Amino acid sequence: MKKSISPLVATVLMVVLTVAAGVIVYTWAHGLVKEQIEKFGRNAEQVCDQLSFNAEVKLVSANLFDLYLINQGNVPIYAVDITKIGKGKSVVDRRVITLSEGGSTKQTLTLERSSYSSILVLPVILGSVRGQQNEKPYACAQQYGQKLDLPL
Amino acid sequence: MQNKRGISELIAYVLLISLSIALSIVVYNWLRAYVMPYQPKACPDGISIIIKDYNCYNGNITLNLSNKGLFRIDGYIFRINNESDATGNPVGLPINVISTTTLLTPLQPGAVTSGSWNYKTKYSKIVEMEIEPFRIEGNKNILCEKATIKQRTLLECN
Repeated sequence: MKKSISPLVATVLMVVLTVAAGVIVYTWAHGLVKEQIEKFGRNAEQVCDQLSFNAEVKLVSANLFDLYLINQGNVPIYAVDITKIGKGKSVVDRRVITLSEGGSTKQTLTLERSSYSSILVLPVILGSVRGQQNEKPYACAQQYGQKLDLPL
Repeated sequence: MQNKRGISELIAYVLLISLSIALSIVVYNWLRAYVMPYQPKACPDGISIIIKDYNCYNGNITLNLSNKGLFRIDGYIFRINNESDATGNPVGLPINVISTTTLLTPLQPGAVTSGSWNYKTKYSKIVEMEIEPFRIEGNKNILCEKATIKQRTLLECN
């Protein structure tokens, strides 16, 4: 009669296999879960709620526009995502502007007026990835943006 | 036999407890950023500043600002717009920062402060001005965006 492996070895094997399976599942799931970006120790999404900025677009010449931006709030704005909206299409252009609290800027936009009717200006803040040192931009949700109709 | 059963039960307990603790740590870290009490630094309601009067002379603008609110004001950002259309109306926003002024003594409710700056050299004219007050809390300027005021200027600032 053959002797089976001892219960102790079986237990050790079970624990090792469970830990290994756990590591594999964690590695797989980590890629699926969106990384969490924080600012001021808060989730970046909640910090977007504290943003306050003023935007206006003016026609300079054919297909050339000036975008005026003033950061009136207490959260620095790292960049803006400018979504050019036309019939059945939209194109996003990220501009790094680095507007500190109270800062302002004027950006020049070139876009075909015949193709696009409005733009959506979305603020992007700079946060840190949970558990990491490096900073990463976080684009705020659409509700925190401003939609501007392009003047004729 | 008794001893062997005892060891496996102990391992089961240890595994159960350690897994529960590990799981609670993971859940806590995930939720921490959402549920921790957060009081963003912001100006209280009831902050109000007005431009009592202004004067443009020889390329300089002098402002008299009055605190019409309920709380002290520690300073203000003075922005201007120097672009206008053919009819003299402002174009765009007042994006040019003339000054970020921190007052030597806080402006108490009802008090008036004044300041004078040269605008001609850099901006040639003023068609619109904007004042955004701020308060200092913990060495940081807290902007009062809700109390921001904007005013058109007359021809004398051209």
